[in-house]
Amino acid sequence: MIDPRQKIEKSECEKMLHQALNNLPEDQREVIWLTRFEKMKYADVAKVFECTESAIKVRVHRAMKKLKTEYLQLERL
Amino acid sequence: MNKDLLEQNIIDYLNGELSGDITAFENMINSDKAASQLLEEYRSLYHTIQHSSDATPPEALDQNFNDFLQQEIKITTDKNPKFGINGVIGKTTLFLILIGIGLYIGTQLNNQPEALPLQNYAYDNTHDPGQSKMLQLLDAPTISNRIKAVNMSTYIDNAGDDIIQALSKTLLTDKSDHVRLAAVEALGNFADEPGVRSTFLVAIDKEKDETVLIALINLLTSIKEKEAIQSFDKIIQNKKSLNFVKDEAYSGKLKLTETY
Repeated sequence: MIDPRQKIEKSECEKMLHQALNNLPEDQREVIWLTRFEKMKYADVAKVFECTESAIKVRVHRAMKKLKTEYLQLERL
Repeated sequence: MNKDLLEQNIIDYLNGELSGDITAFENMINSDKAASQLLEEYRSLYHTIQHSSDATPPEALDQNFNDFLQQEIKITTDKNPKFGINGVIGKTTLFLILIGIGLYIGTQLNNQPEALPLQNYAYDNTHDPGQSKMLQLLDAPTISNRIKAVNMSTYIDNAGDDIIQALSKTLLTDKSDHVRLAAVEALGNFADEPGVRSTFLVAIDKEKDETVLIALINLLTSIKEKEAIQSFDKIIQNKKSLNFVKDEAYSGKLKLTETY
């Protein structure tokens, strides 16, 4: 049985995550979706976007840094 | 190590993509308080992502997939004009509705032990350039798109091992119960192919979702798979099994016992 408080906290975290994701540009949301939600490897994502693995790596780094910044800002509010 | 590079390495580390000496990296993180803090921040974010239940994919991904799917459908219908695009889409839509009532699907399968209905719409896939792409679509990012891909695969006559293996993998490993349910029906069309029956037996032993379980029970009963009796017994004896699943397993067991 999940503690109701934990449930509320989880729900709050999810809300912040979705808000943070919505604050990202579309291309950054896409790579986060594929690498984190769908757990695709950089090499596979590169095939989807028809670019190099290095390019995806850079995109993922930028996207995750931005997501963390956005998420932490919301958390501090 | 500067902060930018450290962050990049942390992201790669958490994504399972860090190359080089991972133990050395972990030791470095453990010995540096600021680095540990940064890792924890990312770990917390990843944890939230991992447990996020109602996320939806970016629109562009969905759109790209749908555009691609339309192209694939067009290729198929160009080869077989009598099977119009509306028919394919109509059946896809109907299927999506049907997955919401898994019991119904199971019952249908049970009532049609020898039926391979979708093969009526089959086309010659031996020279189909879209087939390999369709296999990729089974790994599509969204649940609805993976269901569409599974559904598309059922239109292929004489499917090769790659299609069957991909569907088996989907049945055994896909995170979504809706997709697994769709895979049960799709794979049911290939029940006579080698290895498919054993895939069902593995699936029923590891499946947790009740709807998928019911579909598997009904399918295994309809194809008269005697070895399923053992799996049905496990379900019946499992205290955690819900009553209606137990009932279905019991009913399946009776039918299989009568058959033999």
